[in-house]
Amino acid sequence: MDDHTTLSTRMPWTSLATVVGVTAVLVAGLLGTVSADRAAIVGAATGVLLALSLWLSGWDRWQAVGTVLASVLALPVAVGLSVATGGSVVTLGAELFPVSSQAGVRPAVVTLVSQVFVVLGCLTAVFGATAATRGVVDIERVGTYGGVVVRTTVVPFVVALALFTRGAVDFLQSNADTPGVQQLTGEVLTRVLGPVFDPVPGRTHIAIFSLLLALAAAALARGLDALPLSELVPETSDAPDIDGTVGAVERTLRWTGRLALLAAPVAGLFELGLGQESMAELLPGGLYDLIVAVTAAPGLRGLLWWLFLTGTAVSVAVWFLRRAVQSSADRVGSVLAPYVGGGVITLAAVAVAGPAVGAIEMALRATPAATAVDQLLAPILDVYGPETVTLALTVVALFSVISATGQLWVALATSYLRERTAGVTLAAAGLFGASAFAATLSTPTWLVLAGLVGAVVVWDAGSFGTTLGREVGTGAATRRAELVHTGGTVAVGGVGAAATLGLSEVAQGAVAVAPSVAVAGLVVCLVAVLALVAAIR
Amino acid sequence: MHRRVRRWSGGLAAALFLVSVSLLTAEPLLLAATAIPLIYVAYGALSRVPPGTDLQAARSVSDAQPTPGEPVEVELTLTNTGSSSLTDVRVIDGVPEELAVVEGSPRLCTSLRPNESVTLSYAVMAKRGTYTFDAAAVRVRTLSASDEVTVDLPVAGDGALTCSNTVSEVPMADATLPRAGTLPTDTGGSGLEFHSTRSYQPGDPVNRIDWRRYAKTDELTTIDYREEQAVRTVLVVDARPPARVTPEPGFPTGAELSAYAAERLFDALSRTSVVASVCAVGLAAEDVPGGLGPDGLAWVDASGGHAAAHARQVFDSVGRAAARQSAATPAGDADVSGDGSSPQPQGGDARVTTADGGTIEDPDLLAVLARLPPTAQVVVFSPAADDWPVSLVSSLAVRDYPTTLVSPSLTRGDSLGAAVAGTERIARLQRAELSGATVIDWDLDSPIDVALRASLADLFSV
Repeated sequence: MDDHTTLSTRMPWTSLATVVGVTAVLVAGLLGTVSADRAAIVGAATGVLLALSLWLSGWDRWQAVGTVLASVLALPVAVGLSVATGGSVVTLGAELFPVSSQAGVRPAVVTLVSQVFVVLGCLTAVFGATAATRGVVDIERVGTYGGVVVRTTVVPFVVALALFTRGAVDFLQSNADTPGVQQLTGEVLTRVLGPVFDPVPGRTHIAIFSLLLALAAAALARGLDALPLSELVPETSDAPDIDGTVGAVERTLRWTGRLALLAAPVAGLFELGLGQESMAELLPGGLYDLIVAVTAAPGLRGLLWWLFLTGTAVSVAVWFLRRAVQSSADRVGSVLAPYVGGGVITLAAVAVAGPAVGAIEMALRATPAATAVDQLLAPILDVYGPETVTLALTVVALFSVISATGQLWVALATSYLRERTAGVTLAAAGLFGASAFAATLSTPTWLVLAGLVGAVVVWDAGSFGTTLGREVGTGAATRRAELVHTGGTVAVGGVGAAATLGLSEVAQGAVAVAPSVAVAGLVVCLVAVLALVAAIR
Repeated sequence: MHRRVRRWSGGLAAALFLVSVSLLTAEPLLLAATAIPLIYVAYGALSRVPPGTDLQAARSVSDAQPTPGEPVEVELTLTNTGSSSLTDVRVIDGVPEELAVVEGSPRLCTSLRPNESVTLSYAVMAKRGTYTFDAAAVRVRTLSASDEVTVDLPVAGDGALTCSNTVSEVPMADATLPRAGTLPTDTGGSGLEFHSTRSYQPGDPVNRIDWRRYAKTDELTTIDYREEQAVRTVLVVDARPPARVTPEPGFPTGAELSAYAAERLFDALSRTSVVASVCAVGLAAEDVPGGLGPDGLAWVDASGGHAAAHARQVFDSVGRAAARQSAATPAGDADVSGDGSSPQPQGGDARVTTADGGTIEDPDLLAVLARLPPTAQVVVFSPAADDWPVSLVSSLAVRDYPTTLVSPSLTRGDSLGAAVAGTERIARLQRAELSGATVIDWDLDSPIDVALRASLADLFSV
């Protein structure tokens, strides 16, 4: 009865409508109880975007386009995640703090944490329900998406690091309060680069010159070898014999390099051992002057350095071209796409750096952490500039996306989440958690109970629908069976909700008993019921 | 097969989660709310498929003996004969693997009250041969889907679909045949019809002496009658790869239809004591039990023993060749004929390497010509998907064999490709007719008997 061909995650219409509809209604209801309206809505939208990115990264038909879009969408997803968590914390913190008394700290913290968890739960629920419509949560897609986001983060990370280093070095160099560091760096740099690019005039520097000559010759030889010069010449009889010429030049270069490499230590020994005067006496006058002129000329050194760079650049470029030509355009596109996306993200972050940082500063000033803003944020902005700060925040947000994707991948890989029902499981878990934490806020009881029952209904309808789609197919008329099954689940949930209300009435009615004793009693009852159920199974 | 599905075990984790959150946030409502997941766990643990469950299934096939290429409606009725309501019953009918479902779906999921029944209807495309339906697979689940029972339910009613050649009427009943199996010739010898007289030679058979003349004139003369030569009828079935094309998936191939027509004619002829030889062209050695002849033809001689059984084997081999090819390239035929068109094997699927139509150098054609007895009537069955049958018919006409070409029409559909293929086929049939053969264009909407009857008189008159 099983269909072994492909992993079928489609479910029939009725089940899908139940899953999406119940999730939407409950998320709307739960988010209404959270004060941070905008952050909550952004969080919900992020769930949809994350599901869309997962689908795009596994889009076989237009792989390069899908990868670019998924990579570029990583920024809104990251921003959304940060706003949902950090933004909620900031907004709610501004409302709740400062507290009036010491005893009010704990409830305020609990309220804050609950609201954040409600927003996160709704985000997960929206993501799960959207992903369940197409069945996009499978381990392959999540792995691909994780790879895309990691590669997207590379470009902003490198740029942020470079800007940070430059800012730090500038700060250190400009700041006279730290002479030690600056002098140390300066001295080290001078000592290393001086002999290479700035030789002391009037004496021979054969060793270093030979080394530089060897490097340049080797790089030029590699570059010449890589270039397809002989292939570009037509194979007619009156064509110039490029092959022979190129081969001869290459051989010359290689031998020059080898000889220079051999000569370097010998000459170095001579220079160190003999000293300049004995060398001047040993060699004929004209020769000595020539050697001094050649090896001490900074222009020649510069020329050799540029030749070395050119040769290396040509070799690398030809290697890259060869790899690119041998694969299809789509494949090259999909490999390069995340870096392109990362570049776009970097440019976007740099473009909005100023206003973004201003907005963050203003938001932070409204919270009790205003003094910290003045102490820490302002100097950092002065030293590094708003672009670096924005890029750093972007990179941190992208890291959070990577970590979320990684957790999802681990859950799938360890079969904690089954691929077939991953979407609905996440949706149900999100709704359940959000409802549980919403109970601590001023949410009406019926909404909490509706959320709990609704979470179970979503999971049940989703997994039942997936099994139905696999066994009977989505084309057959199965509405009656699905409605009967869902109706049964809702009825049992209703009984459970009634039992909950009854129990909570009893617990409230037992005012004579101290609350802690009542709580302990309930816990004991709970353990007993769990044991009973385990025994029945 | 009884299986318990632990669907609701997540409820325990949910209960623990609620307990920890309630302790963390000091919210007693959540502690009471653990009743919800626990009730679900109990719901799953306590539900069982009721023991008095009983189901019965009955199948009815609309046409037990269809013609190939015709959709056949199948209905499966499932009745809950037990005493309890079944909320989730899933049934998959055992459609034979070789038949394709062209309409509806053989799968169903529904709920049944006691004595309620539900009907599942779908249509399959008939193919030549006998196919038996398997038992229906039924799975019953409880409302909580935590307990399930799976059985293979034997289905009462029609269990087989036969698309074969048993003839209910004799197509030759009203055809006038002067001499079945004989052909009057122009040479004199022993026979029945008067031809000429000649003077008596010693050694002539005594029963041919004209005694009346002897009584009148006292001369001995011998009567020569028209010699009647036994005429062989040879049925040639074109089963080469270019003929194994279908206009739609699930439809029988041109080769299978040709074999079907040949089998009908073979039965009709054997009923009137004409024994025909059968030859199938284009089969591979593994299709025919016993292998092919040394010239690559599957030939059944009329005068050999068990000719009918061997002929039946050859016809079955054609179907087997088509099934073997379609199993190897499941989408090949459908792709080639996907636009409902051209039975030409052009383009991608170059799995066959026949020449474009069979020139006179074609080895199959030469083998057939070599095997034919010196006087024979030849009936060629071919869908005329390429020029090979036309070459064969014109070669036969040149050698003075009376030839008939029976061609099933494969072109269906309104697409441009179908129109082009149809026109090409008509052109080939016209060329065959011009070369002197009798052409029977079998339009699949009418039975082969009607098409053959009209021309059988031609087949055996001179």
